[in-house]
Amino acid sequence: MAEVSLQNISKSFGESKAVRNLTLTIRDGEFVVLLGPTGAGKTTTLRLIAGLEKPDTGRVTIGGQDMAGAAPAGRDVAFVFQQYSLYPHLTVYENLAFPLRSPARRLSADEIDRRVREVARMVRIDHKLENRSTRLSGGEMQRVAIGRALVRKPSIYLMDEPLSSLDAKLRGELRLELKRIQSELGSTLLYVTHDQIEAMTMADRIGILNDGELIQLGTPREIYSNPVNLHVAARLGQPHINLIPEGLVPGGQPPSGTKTIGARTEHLEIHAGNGTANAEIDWIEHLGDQSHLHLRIAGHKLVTLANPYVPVKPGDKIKLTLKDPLYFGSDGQRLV
Amino acid sequence: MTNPSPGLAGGDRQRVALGRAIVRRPKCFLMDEPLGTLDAEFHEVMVHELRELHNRIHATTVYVTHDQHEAMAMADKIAVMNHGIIEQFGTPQEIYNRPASMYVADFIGSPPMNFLKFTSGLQKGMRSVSVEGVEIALPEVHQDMAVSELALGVRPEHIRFNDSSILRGSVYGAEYLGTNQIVAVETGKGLLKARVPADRTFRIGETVGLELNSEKLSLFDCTSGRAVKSSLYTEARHG
Ligand SMILES: Nc1ncnc2c1ncn2[C@@H]1O[C@H](COP(=O)(O)OP(=O)(O)O)[C@@H](O)[C@H]1O
Ligand SMILES: [Mg+2]
Repeated sequence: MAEVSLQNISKSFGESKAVRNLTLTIRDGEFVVLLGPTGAGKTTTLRLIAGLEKPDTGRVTIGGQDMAGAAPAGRDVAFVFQQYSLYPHLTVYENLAFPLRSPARRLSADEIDRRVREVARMVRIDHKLENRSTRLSGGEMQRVAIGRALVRKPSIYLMDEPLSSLDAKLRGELRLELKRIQSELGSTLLYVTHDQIEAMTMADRIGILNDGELIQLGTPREIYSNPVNLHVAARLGQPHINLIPEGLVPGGQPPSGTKTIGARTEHLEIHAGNGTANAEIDWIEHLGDQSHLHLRIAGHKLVTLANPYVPVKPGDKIKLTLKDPLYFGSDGQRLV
Repeated sequence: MTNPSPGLAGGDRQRVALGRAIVRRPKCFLMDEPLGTLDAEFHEVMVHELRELHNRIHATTVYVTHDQHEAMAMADKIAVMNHGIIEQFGTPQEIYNRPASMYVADFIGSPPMNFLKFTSGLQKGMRSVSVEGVEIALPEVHQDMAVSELALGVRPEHIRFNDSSILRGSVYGAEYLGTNQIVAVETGKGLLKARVPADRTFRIGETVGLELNSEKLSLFDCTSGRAVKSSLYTEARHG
Protein backbone atom coordinates (compact mmCIF):
# COMPACT_ATOMS: atom_id res chain seq x y z
CA MET A 1 0.00 0.00 0.00
CA ALA A 2 1.21 3.52 -0.70
CA GLU A 3 0.32 7.18 -0.73
CA VAL A 4 -1.02 8.33 -4.08
CA SER A 5 -0.92 11.93 -5.11
CA LEU A 6 -2.35 13.98 -7.97
CA GLN A 7 -0.81 17.39 -8.55
CA ASN A 8 -2.50 19.98 -10.74
CA ILE A 9 -3.89 17.37 -13.11
CA SER A 10 -5.91 18.53 -16.11
CA LYS A 11 -7.37 16.43 -18.88
CA SER A 12 -9.51 17.44 -21.85
CA PHE A 13 -11.17 15.42 -24.58
CA GLY A 14 -11.41 17.83 -27.49
CA GLU A 15 -13.44 20.78 -26.24
CA SER A 16 -14.65 18.98 -23.14
CA LYS A 17 -12.64 19.50 -19.96
CA ALA A 18 -13.03 16.27 -18.00
CA VAL A 19 -10.64 17.12 -15.13
CA ARG A 20 -9.62 20.64 -14.13
CA ASN A 21 -6.46 21.32 -12.16
CA LEU A 22 -7.09 18.53 -9.68
CA THR A 23 -4.83 18.25 -6.64
CA LEU A 24 -5.51 15.40 -4.23
CA THR A 25 -3.46 13.17 -1.95
CA ILE A 26 -4.80 9.80 -0.84
CA ARG A 27 -2.84 8.88 2.27
CA ASP A 28 -1.39 5.46 2.81
CA GLY A 29 -4.21 3.28 4.20
CA GLU A 30 -6.92 5.85 3.53
CA PHE A 31 -10.40 5.31 1.99
CA VAL A 32 -11.23 8.35 -0.15
CA VAL A 33 -14.52 8.65 -2.02
CA LEU A 34 -15.00 11.11 -4.88
CA LEU A 35 -18.69 12.05 -5.07
CA GLY A 36 -20.14 13.67 -8.15
CA PRO A 37 -22.91 13.35 -10.73
CA THR A 38 -22.53 11.65 -14.11
CA GLY A 39 -19.98 13.53 -16.21
CA ALA A 40 -18.15 15.02 -13.20
CA GLY A 41 -14.85 13.40 -14.23
CA LYS A 42 -14.79 10.49 -11.77
CA THR A 43 -13.90 7.71 -14.20
CA THR A 44 -11.35 9.89 -15.96
CA THR A 45 -9.61 10.58 -12.63
CA LEU A 46 -9.28 6.84 -11.93
CA ARG A 47 -8.05 6.18 -15.47
CA LEU A 48 -5.41 8.89 -15.08
CA ILE A 49 -4.08 7.20 -11.94
CA ALA A 50 -4.12 3.79 -13.59
CA GLY A 51 -2.23 5.16 -16.60
CA LEU A 52 -5.10 4.42 -19.01
CA GLU A 53 -5.19 8.14 -19.82
CA LYS A 54 -2.32 10.62 -20.00
CA PRO A 55 -2.80 13.98 -18.24
CA ASP A 56 -2.48 17.15 -20.36
CA THR A 57 -0.74 18.80 -17.42
CA GLY A 58 0.25 17.85 -13.88
CA ARG A 59 1.64 14.68 -12.39
CA VAL A 60 0.64 11.50 -10.64
CA THR A 61 2.89 9.98 -7.98
CA ILE A 62 2.49 6.59 -6.33
CA GLY A 63 4.57 5.99 -3.21
CA GLY A 64 6.48 9.18 -4.01
CA GLN A 65 7.46 8.01 -7.53
CA ASP A 66 6.52 10.06 -10.56
CA MET A 67 4.39 7.87 -12.86
CA ALA A 68 4.84 9.97 -16.01
CA GLY A 69 6.84 7.29 -17.82
CA ALA A 70 5.11 4.25 -16.29
CA ALA A 71 2.81 2.02 -18.36
CA PRO A 72 -0.44 0.80 -16.73
CA ALA A 73 1.06 -2.62 -15.99
CA GLY A 74 3.99 -0.99 -14.20
CA ARG A 75 1.84 1.06 -11.85
CA ASP A 76 0.75 -1.62 -9.41
CA VAL A 77 -2.90 -0.54 -9.14
CA ALA A 78 -6.01 -2.76 -9.02
CA PHE A 79 -9.08 -1.44 -10.83
CA VAL A 80 -12.68 -2.56 -10.18
CA PHE A 81 -14.89 -1.45 -13.04
CA GLN A 82 -18.51 -0.38 -12.89
CA GLN A 83 -19.68 -3.40 -14.87
CA TYR A 84 -18.27 -6.71 -13.71
CA SER A 85 -15.71 -8.10 -16.05
CA LEU A 86 -15.26 -11.75 -15.10
CA TYR A 87 -13.99 -14.56 -17.29
CA PRO A 88 -17.28 -16.35 -17.98
CA HIS A 89 -15.74 -19.74 -18.82
CA LEU A 90 -13.76 -19.86 -15.57
CA THR A 91 -14.92 -20.88 -12.10
CA VAL A 92 -15.06 -18.39 -9.25
CA TYR A 93 -11.83 -19.93 -7.94
CA GLU A 94 -10.02 -19.47 -11.23
CA ASN A 95 -11.33 -15.93 -11.63
CA LEU A 96 -9.90 -15.06 -8.24
CA ALA A 97 -6.61 -16.86 -8.89
CA PHE A 98 -6.09 -15.34 -12.34
CA PRO A 99 -4.37 -12.10 -11.27
CA LEU A 100 -1.93 -14.16 -9.16
CA ARG A 101 -0.91 -16.58 -11.90
CA SER A 102 1.17 -14.18 -13.98
CA PRO A 103 4.68 -15.64 -14.23
CA ALA A 104 6.17 -12.33 -13.09
CA ARG A 105 4.63 -12.86 -9.64
CA ARG A 106 6.27 -16.24 -9.10
CA LEU A 107 3.82 -17.30 -6.41
CA SER A 108 3.70 -20.94 -5.34
CA ALA A 109 0.48 -22.91 -5.88
CA ASP A 110 0.04 -23.09 -2.11
CA GLU A 111 0.41 -19.37 -1.71
CA ILE A 112 -2.14 -18.72 -4.48
CA ASP A 113 -4.59 -21.18 -2.95
CA ARG A 114 -4.22 -19.59 0.48
CA ARG A 115 -4.88 -16.08 -0.86
CA VAL A 116 -7.83 -17.11 -3.01
CA ARG A 117 -9.55 -18.82 -0.09
CA GLU A 118 -8.83 -15.98 2.30
CA VAL A 119 -10.29 -13.36 -0.06
CA ALA A 120 -13.25 -15.58 -0.98
CA ARG A 121 -14.13 -15.71 2.71
CA MET A 122 -13.80 -11.94 3.02
CA VAL A 123 -16.21 -11.24 0.19
CA ARG A 124 -18.40 -14.20 1.28
CA ILE A 125 -18.24 -16.18 -1.91
CA ASP A 126 -16.28 -19.14 -0.44
CA HIS A 127 -19.29 -21.45 -0.74
CA LYS A 128 -19.35 -20.99 -4.54
CA LEU A 129 -15.68 -21.35 -5.45
CA GLU A 130 -16.33 -24.18 -7.93
CA ASN A 131 -19.27 -22.45 -9.69
CA ARG A 132 -18.90 -21.05 -13.19
CA SER A 133 -19.07 -17.28 -12.95
CA THR A 134 -22.05 -17.22 -15.34
CA ARG A 135 -24.04 -19.16 -12.76
CA LEU A 136 -23.85 -16.35 -10.20
CA SER A 137 -26.34 -13.62 -9.32
CA GLY A 138 -25.40 -10.00 -10.01
CA GLY A 139 -24.41 -9.46 -6.41
CA GLU A 140 -22.21 -12.55 -6.38
CA MET A 141 -20.49 -11.55 -9.62
CA GLN A 142 -19.69 -8.15 -8.16
CA ARG A 143 -18.28 -9.82 -5.03
CA VAL A 144 -15.99 -11.86 -7.25
CA ALA A 145 -14.98 -8.74 -9.20
CA ILE A 146 -14.07 -6.99 -5.94
CA GLY A 147 -12.36 -10.16 -4.69
CA ARG A 148 -10.26 -10.33 -7.83
CA ALA A 149 -8.86 -6.90 -7.00
CA LEU A 150 -8.34 -7.83 -3.34
CA VAL A 151 -6.21 -10.97 -3.99
CA ARG A 152 -3.48 -8.65 -5.15
CA LYS A 153 -1.75 -6.32 -2.76
CA PRO A 154 -1.33 -3.28 -4.98
CA SER A 155 -0.34 0.27 -4.03
CA ILE A 156 -3.93 1.39 -4.42
CA TYR A 157 -7.37 0.01 -5.23
CA LEU A 158 -9.36 2.08 -7.71
CA MET A 159 -13.09 1.38 -7.67
CA ASP A 160 -15.54 2.86 -10.17
CA GLU A 161 -19.12 2.73 -8.81
CA PRO A 162 -18.77 -1.00 -8.09
CA LEU A 163 -22.13 -1.27 -6.30
CA SER A 164 -24.32 0.82 -8.59
CA SER A 165 -25.81 -2.12 -10.51
CA LEU A 166 -26.95 -3.95 -7.36
CA ASP A 167 -30.28 -3.75 -5.55
CA ALA A 168 -30.62 -1.62 -2.44
CA LYS A 169 -30.35 -4.43 0.12
CA LEU A 170 -27.24 -5.95 -1.34
CA ARG A 171 -25.67 -2.53 -1.76
CA GLY A 172 -26.21 -1.92 1.94
CA GLU A 173 -24.54 -5.21 2.87
CA LEU A 174 -21.57 -4.80 0.55
CA ARG A 175 -20.98 -1.22 1.74
CA LEU A 176 -20.46 -2.46 5.24
CA GLU A 177 -18.25 -5.36 4.08
CA LEU A 178 -16.07 -3.26 1.84
CA LYS A 179 -15.36 -0.69 4.54
CA ARG A 180 -14.62 -3.47 6.99
CA ILE A 181 -12.25 -5.28 4.60
CA GLN A 182 -10.45 -2.06 3.73
CA SER A 183 -9.81 -1.19 7.34
CA GLU A 184 -8.72 -4.75 8.14
CA LEU A 185 -6.23 -4.78 5.26
CA GLY A 186 -5.18 -1.16 5.80
CA SER A 187 -5.57 -0.62 2.05
CA THR A 188 -5.32 2.63 0.20
CA LEU A 189 -8.58 2.96 -1.73
CA LEU A 190 -10.00 5.55 -4.09
CA TYR A 191 -13.69 4.92 -4.74
CA VAL A 192 -15.90 7.03 -7.00
CA THR A 193 -19.68 7.20 -6.94
CA HIS A 194 -22.72 9.40 -7.49
CA ASP A 195 -24.39 7.93 -4.39
CA GLN A 196 -24.15 10.17 -1.33
CA ILE A 197 -24.94 7.30 1.05
CA GLU A 198 -21.95 5.31 -0.19
CA ALA A 199 -19.75 8.35 0.25
CA MET A 200 -21.00 9.17 3.74
CA THR A 201 -20.88 5.64 5.07
CA MET A 202 -17.55 4.39 3.73
CA ALA A 203 -15.19 7.33 3.29
CA ASP A 204 -12.46 8.48 5.63
CA ARG A 205 -12.56 11.60 3.47
CA ILE A 206 -14.99 12.65 0.73
CA GLY A 207 -14.00 14.77 -2.25
CA ILE A 208 -16.90 16.63 -3.87
CA LEU A 209 -16.30 16.66 -7.60
CA ASN A 210 -18.26 18.81 -10.02
CA ASP A 211 -17.49 19.52 -13.65
CA GLY A 212 -13.98 18.14 -13.29
CA GLU A 213 -13.20 20.31 -10.30
CA LEU A 214 -12.60 19.27 -6.69
CA ILE A 215 -14.84 21.61 -4.69
CA GLN A 216 -14.26 20.37 -1.14
CA LEU A 217 -12.32 17.60 0.57
CA GLY A 218 -13.02 16.53 4.14
CA THR A 219 -14.39 13.88 6.49
CA PRO A 220 -18.07 13.01 6.01
CA ARG A 221 -18.88 14.95 9.18
CA GLU A 222 -16.99 18.02 7.94
CA ILE A 223 -18.64 17.97 4.54
CA TYR A 224 -22.10 17.47 6.03
CA SER A 225 -21.77 20.07 8.81
CA ASN A 226 -19.49 22.59 7.13
CA PRO A 227 -20.10 22.71 3.38
CA VAL A 228 -18.11 25.47 1.69
CA ASN A 229 -20.89 26.42 -0.71
CA LEU A 230 -24.47 25.73 -1.79
CA HIS A 231 -23.42 23.04 -4.23
CA VAL A 232 -21.74 20.95 -1.51
CA ALA A 233 -24.59 21.55 0.96
CA ALA A 234 -27.05 20.14 -1.55
CA ARG A 235 -24.98 16.99 -2.23
CA LEU A 236 -25.33 15.45 1.25
CA GLY A 237 -28.28 14.83 3.53
CA GLN A 238 -31.67 13.14 3.36
CA PRO A 239 -34.09 14.74 3.17
CA HIS A 240 -32.42 17.26 0.90
CA ILE A 241 -31.29 20.46 2.69
CA ASN A 242 -33.90 23.25 2.56
CA LEU A 243 -32.53 26.27 0.72
CA ILE A 244 -34.67 29.27 1.60
CA PRO A 245 -34.37 33.05 1.18
CA GLU A 246 -33.02 35.05 4.11
CA GLY A 247 -35.85 36.50 6.20
CA LEU A 248 -38.41 33.77 5.51
CA VAL A 249 -38.05 31.93 8.82
CA PRO A 250 -37.28 33.80 12.07
CA GLY A 251 -34.29 32.98 14.28
CA GLY A 252 -30.59 32.64 13.64
CA GLN A 253 -28.14 35.49 13.14
CA PRO A 254 -27.48 35.91 9.45
CA PRO A 255 -24.19 37.72 8.78
CA SER A 256 -24.44 40.71 6.44
CA GLY A 257 -24.59 39.68 2.79
CA THR A 258 -26.67 36.55 3.51
CA LYS A 259 -28.90 35.70 0.57
CA THR A 260 -29.78 32.07 1.14
CA ILE A 261 -30.21 30.02 4.28
CA GLY A 262 -29.52 26.32 4.35
CA ALA A 263 -31.68 24.53 6.91
CA ARG A 264 -31.44 20.83 7.62
CA THR A 265 -33.63 19.05 10.18
CA GLU A 266 -31.14 19.88 12.94
CA HIS A 267 -31.46 23.61 12.09
CA LEU A 268 -35.26 23.78 12.34
CA GLU A 269 -37.35 23.96 15.51
CA ILE A 270 -41.07 23.29 15.51
CA HIS A 271 -43.25 24.73 18.27
CA ALA A 272 -47.00 24.65 18.85
CA GLY A 273 -48.69 27.48 16.90
CA ASN A 274 -50.80 29.11 19.64
CA GLY A 275 -51.62 32.24 17.66
CA THR A 276 -48.01 32.86 16.56
CA ALA A 277 -48.00 30.22 13.83
CA ASN A 278 -46.06 31.05 10.67
CA ALA A 279 -46.21 27.67 8.93
CA GLU A 280 -48.55 24.81 8.20
CA ILE A 281 -48.10 21.04 7.93
CA ASP A 282 -48.80 20.25 4.29
CA TRP A 283 -48.49 16.46 4.36
CA ILE A 284 -46.57 13.77 6.18
CA GLU A 285 -44.51 11.01 4.66
CA HIS A 286 -44.42 8.06 7.07
CA LEU A 287 -41.22 6.22 6.39
CA GLY A 288 -41.47 3.92 9.39
CA ASP A 289 -38.35 4.75 11.37
CA GLN A 290 -39.02 8.43 10.90
CA SER A 291 -41.39 10.79 9.14
CA HIS A 292 -40.76 13.56 6.66
CA LEU A 293 -42.89 16.57 7.53
CA HIS A 294 -43.70 18.65 4.48
CA LEU A 295 -44.24 22.23 5.63
CA ARG A 296 -45.50 25.30 3.87
CA ILE A 297 -44.37 28.77 4.87
CA ALA A 298 -45.29 31.88 2.86
CA GLY A 299 -45.50 29.97 -0.39
CA HIS A 300 -42.25 28.03 0.21
CA LYS A 301 -42.06 24.30 0.79
CA LEU A 302 -39.75 22.78 3.41
CA VAL A 303 -39.10 19.18 4.40
CA THR A 304 -37.85 18.11 7.80
CA LEU A 305 -37.47 14.83 9.68
CA ALA A 306 -39.58 14.04 12.69
CA ASN A 307 -39.91 11.21 15.11
CA PRO A 308 -42.89 9.12 13.89
CA TYR A 309 -44.62 9.53 17.25
CA VAL A 310 -44.72 13.35 17.09
CA PRO A 311 -48.44 14.20 17.26
CA VAL A 312 -48.98 16.43 14.22
CA LYS A 313 -51.32 16.08 11.26
CA PRO A 314 -51.80 17.76 7.91
CA GLY A 315 -53.37 21.22 8.26
CA ASP A 316 -51.85 21.85 11.72
CA LYS A 317 -50.53 25.38 12.17
CA ILE A 318 -47.09 25.51 13.77
CA LYS A 319 -44.37 27.98 14.62
CA LEU A 320 -41.11 27.36 12.81
CA THR A 321 -37.80 28.91 13.87
CA LEU A 322 -34.16 28.53 12.86
CA LYS A 323 -31.35 27.28 15.08
CA ASP A 324 -27.79 27.95 13.85
CA PRO A 325 -28.50 27.26 10.17
CA LEU A 326 -25.99 27.62 7.32
CA TYR A 327 -25.67 31.03 5.63
CA PHE A 328 -24.73 31.63 2.00
CA GLY A 329 -23.95 34.82 0.08
CA SER A 330 -25.27 35.77 -3.34
CA ASP A 331 -22.31 33.98 -4.96
CA GLY A 332 -23.37 30.75 -3.23
CA GLN A 333 -20.33 30.70 -0.94
CA ARG A 334 -20.78 29.89 2.72
CA LEU A 335 -20.67 32.83 5.15
CA VAL A 336 -19.48 32.14 8.68
CA MET B 1 -28.32 24.87 -11.61
CA THR B 2 -28.03 26.06 -15.21
CA ASN B 3 -26.77 22.74 -16.57
CA PRO B 4 -29.60 20.31 -17.09
CA SER B 5 -28.34 17.04 -15.63
CA PRO B 6 -29.13 13.73 -17.29
CA GLY B 7 -31.26 12.97 -14.20
CA LEU B 8 -33.33 16.07 -14.89
CA ALA B 9 -33.86 15.10 -18.49
CA GLY B 10 -35.16 11.71 -17.33
CA GLY B 11 -37.38 13.41 -14.80
CA ASP B 12 -38.77 15.76 -17.42
CA ARG B 13 -39.60 12.85 -19.68
CA GLN B 14 -41.54 11.22 -16.85
CA ARG B 15 -43.28 14.52 -16.10
CA VAL B 16 -44.48 14.75 -19.69
CA ALA B 17 -45.78 11.18 -19.55
CA LEU B 18 -47.62 11.96 -16.32
CA GLY B 19 -49.03 15.19 -17.71
CA ARG B 20 -50.41 13.29 -20.66
CA ALA B 21 -52.07 10.81 -18.31
CA ILE B 22 -53.54 13.57 -16.12
CA VAL B 23 -55.14 15.70 -18.85
CA ARG B 24 -57.34 12.74 -19.74
CA ARG B 25 -58.92 13.03 -16.26
CA PRO B 26 -59.23 9.29 -15.78
CA LYS B 27 -61.02 7.75 -12.80
CA CYS B 28 -57.97 5.73 -11.91
CA PHE B 29 -54.22 5.87 -12.50
CA LEU B 30 -52.25 2.67 -12.97
CA MET B 31 -48.53 3.27 -12.57
CA ASP B 32 -45.91 0.63 -13.25
CA GLU B 33 -42.57 1.61 -11.66
CA PRO B 34 -42.57 5.06 -13.30
CA LEU B 35 -39.48 6.22 -11.36
CA GLY B 36 -37.41 3.09 -11.85
CA THR B 37 -34.60 4.62 -13.86
CA LEU B 38 -33.92 7.93 -12.10
CA ASP B 39 -30.80 8.96 -10.11
CA ALA B 40 -31.21 8.74 -6.34
CA GLU B 41 -31.25 12.48 -5.81
CA PHE B 42 -33.85 13.20 -8.45
CA HIS B 43 -35.84 10.19 -7.46
CA GLU B 44 -36.75 11.81 -4.13
CA VAL B 45 -37.94 14.97 -5.87
CA MET B 46 -40.25 12.96 -8.13
CA VAL B 47 -41.62 10.90 -5.23
CA HIS B 48 -42.64 14.16 -3.55
CA GLU B 49 -44.12 15.58 -6.74
CA LEU B 50 -46.21 12.49 -7.37
CA ARG B 51 -47.61 12.46 -3.84
CA GLU B 52 -48.35 16.20 -3.97
CA LEU B 53 -50.10 15.69 -7.27
CA HIS B 54 -52.23 13.04 -5.61
CA ASN B 55 -52.93 15.40 -2.69
CA ARG B 56 -54.31 17.90 -5.23
CA ILE B 57 -56.37 15.72 -7.56
CA HIS B 58 -57.20 12.71 -5.33
CA ALA B 59 -57.50 10.30 -8.24
CA THR B 60 -57.56 6.65 -7.21
CA THR B 61 -54.06 5.36 -7.94
CA VAL B 62 -52.60 1.88 -8.04
CA TYR B 63 -48.83 2.09 -8.16
CA VAL B 64 -46.59 -0.95 -8.38
CA THR B 65 -42.92 -0.91 -7.41
CA HIS B 66 -40.12 -3.10 -6.08
CA ASP B 67 -38.82 -0.12 -4.10
CA GLN B 68 -40.05 -0.24 -0.51
CA HIS B 69 -39.05 3.40 0.03
CA GLU B 70 -41.32 4.60 -2.78
CA ALA B 71 -44.19 2.59 -1.33
CA MET B 72 -43.69 3.92 2.20
CA ALA B 73 -43.27 7.50 1.00
CA MET B 74 -46.32 7.72 -1.25
CA ALA B 75 -48.98 5.20 -0.30
CA ASP B 76 -52.14 5.57 1.75
CA LYS B 77 -52.14 1.78 1.83
CA ILE B 78 -49.58 -0.78 0.74
CA ALA B 79 -50.19 -4.34 -0.42
CA VAL B 80 -46.94 -6.27 0.05
CA MET B 81 -46.83 -9.02 -2.56
CA ASN B 82 -44.74 -12.16 -2.55
CA HIS B 83 -45.00 -14.66 -5.43
CA GLY B 84 -48.42 -13.37 -6.46
CA ILE B 85 -49.86 -13.48 -2.93
CA ILE B 86 -50.68 -10.44 -0.82
CA GLU B 87 -48.77 -10.96 2.43
CA GLN B 88 -50.20 -7.86 4.09
CA PHE B 89 -52.45 -4.94 3.20
CA GLY B 90 -52.40 -1.87 5.42
CA THR B 91 -51.18 1.67 5.97
CA PRO B 92 -47.42 2.25 5.84
CA GLN B 93 -47.35 2.63 9.64
CA GLU B 94 -49.24 -0.64 10.22
CA ILE B 95 -46.98 -2.51 7.87
CA TYR B 96 -43.85 -1.05 9.36
CA ASN B 97 -44.80 -1.31 13.01
CA ARG B 98 -46.75 -4.58 12.91
CA PRO B 99 -45.47 -6.68 10.01
CA ALA B 100 -47.65 -9.76 9.50
CA SER B 101 -44.77 -11.96 8.39
CA MET B 102 -41.00 -12.20 8.35
CA TYR B 103 -41.10 -11.56 4.62
CA VAL B 104 -42.84 -8.21 5.14
CA ALA B 105 -40.59 -7.30 8.08
CA ASP B 106 -37.51 -7.94 5.97
CA PHE B 107 -38.79 -6.30 2.81
CA ILE B 108 -39.94 -3.02 4.40
CA GLY B 109 -37.38 -0.83 6.14
CA SER B 110 -33.79 0.06 5.41
CA PRO B 111 -31.92 -1.53 7.00
CA PRO B 112 -34.61 -4.18 7.48
CA MET B 113 -35.90 -5.58 10.76
CA ASN B 114 -33.34 -7.60 12.75
CA PHE B 115 -34.25 -11.17 13.70
CA LEU B 116 -32.91 -12.95 16.80
CA LYS B 117 -33.66 -16.63 16.41
CA PHE B 118 -34.26 -18.91 19.38
CA THR B 119 -36.22 -22.03 20.34
CA SER B 120 -39.03 -21.90 22.86
CA GLY B 121 -42.65 -22.73 23.59
CA LEU B 122 -45.18 -19.95 24.19
CA GLN B 123 -48.13 -19.56 26.53
CA LYS B 124 -50.81 -16.90 26.45
CA GLY B 125 -50.00 -14.10 28.85
CA MET B 126 -46.20 -14.43 28.61
CA ARG B 127 -44.47 -11.06 28.85
CA SER B 128 -40.92 -12.10 28.20
CA VAL B 129 -38.87 -14.72 26.38
CA SER B 130 -35.43 -16.13 27.06
CA VAL B 131 -32.98 -15.71 24.18
CA GLU B 132 -29.65 -17.45 24.90
CA GLY B 133 -30.19 -17.05 28.63
CA VAL B 134 -31.04 -13.36 28.32
CA GLU B 135 -34.58 -12.56 29.47
CA ILE B 136 -36.16 -10.08 27.03
CA ALA B 137 -39.48 -8.36 27.83
CA LEU B 138 -41.98 -8.06 24.98
CA PRO B 139 -45.65 -7.21 24.34
CA GLU B 140 -48.00 -9.75 25.97
CA VAL B 141 -48.21 -12.98 23.96
CA HIS B 142 -51.80 -13.90 22.97
CA GLN B 143 -51.19 -17.37 21.59
CA ASP B 144 -50.08 -20.78 22.85
CA MET B 145 -47.43 -22.59 20.89
CA ALA B 146 -45.49 -25.85 21.30
CA VAL B 147 -41.71 -25.62 21.41
CA SER B 148 -40.60 -24.31 18.02
CA GLU B 149 -38.14 -22.11 16.17
CA LEU B 150 -39.01 -18.49 16.85
CA ALA B 151 -37.55 -15.13 15.87
CA LEU B 152 -37.70 -11.94 17.86
CA GLY B 153 -38.05 -9.01 15.44
CA VAL B 154 -36.57 -5.63 16.29
CA ARG B 155 -36.31 -2.52 14.12
CA PRO B 156 -32.89 -0.79 14.04
CA GLU B 157 -34.24 2.34 15.75
CA HIS B 158 -35.57 0.24 18.64
CA ILE B 159 -32.09 -0.78 19.75
CA ARG B 160 -30.21 1.47 22.17
CA PHE B 161 -26.70 1.24 23.55
CA ASN B 162 -26.56 0.64 27.26
CA ASP B 163 -23.32 -0.55 28.80
CA SER B 164 -25.11 -2.25 31.69
CA SER B 165 -27.25 -4.46 29.41
CA ILE B 166 -26.42 -8.17 29.45
CA LEU B 167 -27.14 -8.52 25.73
CA ARG B 168 -23.67 -7.77 24.41
CA GLY B 169 -21.76 -7.66 21.18
CA SER B 170 -18.81 -6.08 19.41
CA VAL B 171 -19.01 -3.26 16.88
CA TYR B 172 -18.61 -4.60 13.33
CA GLY B 173 -18.96 -1.29 11.52
CA ALA B 174 -20.64 2.10 11.72
CA GLU B 175 -22.30 3.95 8.88
CA TYR B 176 -22.57 7.70 9.31
CA LEU B 177 -25.70 9.19 7.71
CA GLY B 178 -25.63 12.81 8.90
CA THR B 179 -28.55 13.07 11.30
CA ASN B 180 -28.08 9.50 12.51
CA GLN B 181 -25.90 6.46 11.95
CA ILE B 182 -26.32 2.72 11.54
CA VAL B 183 -24.11 0.67 13.84
CA ALA B 184 -23.69 -3.03 13.03
CA VAL B 185 -22.97 -5.16 16.09
CA GLU B 186 -21.78 -8.77 16.01
CA THR B 187 -23.62 -10.78 18.67
CA GLY B 188 -23.99 -14.46 19.51
CA LYS B 189 -27.24 -14.23 17.51
CA GLY B 190 -25.70 -12.77 14.36
CA LEU B 191 -25.27 -9.22 13.12
CA LEU B 192 -27.71 -6.66 14.54
CA LYS B 193 -28.06 -3.18 13.09
CA ALA B 194 -29.02 -0.25 15.29
CA ARG B 195 -30.00 3.25 14.21
CA VAL B 196 -28.70 5.77 16.73
CA PRO B 197 -27.90 9.51 16.83
CA ALA B 198 -24.72 10.47 14.95
CA ASP B 199 -23.04 12.28 17.84
CA ARG B 200 -21.26 9.26 19.33
CA THR B 201 -18.41 7.63 17.41
CA PHE B 202 -17.73 3.89 17.59
CA ARG B 203 -14.52 1.91 17.17
CA ILE B 204 -14.58 -1.37 15.26
CA GLY B 205 -14.24 -4.18 17.80
CA GLU B 206 -15.51 -2.09 20.72
CA THR B 207 -17.75 -4.06 23.13
CA VAL B 208 -21.22 -2.62 23.61
CA GLY B 209 -24.39 -3.54 25.53
CA LEU B 210 -27.68 -3.51 23.64
CA GLU B 211 -31.09 -2.69 25.01
CA LEU B 212 -34.23 -3.45 23.02
CA ASN B 213 -37.36 -1.30 23.19
CA SER B 214 -39.70 -3.97 24.59
CA GLU B 215 -42.97 -2.30 23.59
CA LYS B 216 -42.09 -2.46 19.90
CA LEU B 217 -40.87 -6.03 19.54
CA SER B 218 -42.47 -8.52 17.15
CA LEU B 219 -42.29 -12.29 17.47
CA PHE B 220 -42.43 -14.72 14.54
CA ASP B 221 -42.91 -18.42 14.06
CA CYS B 222 -39.96 -19.31 11.82
CA THR B 223 -41.72 -22.36 10.34
CA SER B 224 -44.70 -20.49 8.91
CA GLY B 225 -42.98 -17.10 8.87
CA ARG B 226 -46.14 -15.53 10.40
CA ALA B 227 -46.21 -13.09 13.30
CA VAL B 228 -47.25 -14.47 16.69
CA LYS B 229 -50.35 -12.75 18.12
CA SER B 230 -49.47 -10.27 20.84
CA SER B 231 -50.83 -7.13 22.45
CA LEU B 232 -48.79 -5.08 19.98
CA TYR B 233 -50.81 -6.57 17.13
CA THR B 234 -54.28 -6.84 18.70
CA GLU B 235 -54.37 -3.38 20.32
CA ALA B 236 -53.78 -1.88 16.95
CA ARG B 237 -56.66 -3.74 15.36
CA HIS B 238 -59.12 -2.40 17.94
CA GLY B 239 -57.68 1.10 18.34
N1 LIG C 1 -12.78 8.97 -24.08
C1 LIG C 1 -13.50 10.10 -24.04
N2 LIG C 1 -13.72 10.83 -25.14
C2 LIG C 1 -14.43 11.99 -25.09
N3 LIG C 1 -14.96 12.50 -23.98
C3 LIG C 1 -14.79 11.82 -22.83
C4 LIG C 1 -14.06 10.58 -22.80
N4 LIG C 1 -14.05 10.14 -21.52
C5 LIG C 1 -14.75 11.04 -20.80
N5 LIG C 1 -15.19 12.06 -21.57
C6 LIG C 1 -15.95 13.23 -21.12
O1 LIG C 1 -15.34 13.75 -19.95
C7 LIG C 1 -16.29 14.13 -18.98
C8 LIG C 1 -16.08 13.34 -17.71
O2 LIG C 1 -16.38 11.98 -17.95
P1 LIG C 1 -16.22 10.83 -16.87
O3 LIG C 1 -14.86 10.91 -16.28
O4 LIG C 1 -16.59 9.56 -17.52
O5 LIG C 1 -17.29 11.25 -15.78
P2 LIG C 1 -18.02 10.38 -14.65
O6 LIG C 1 -17.27 9.10 -14.49
O7 LIG C 1 -17.98 11.25 -13.46
O8 LIG C 1 -19.42 10.17 -15.12
C9 LIG C 1 -17.65 13.89 -19.63
O9 LIG C 1 -18.09 15.10 -20.16
C10 LIG C 1 -17.35 12.88 -20.69
O10 LIG C 1 -18.26 13.00 -21.77
MG1 LIG D 1 -18.02 7.09 -14.66
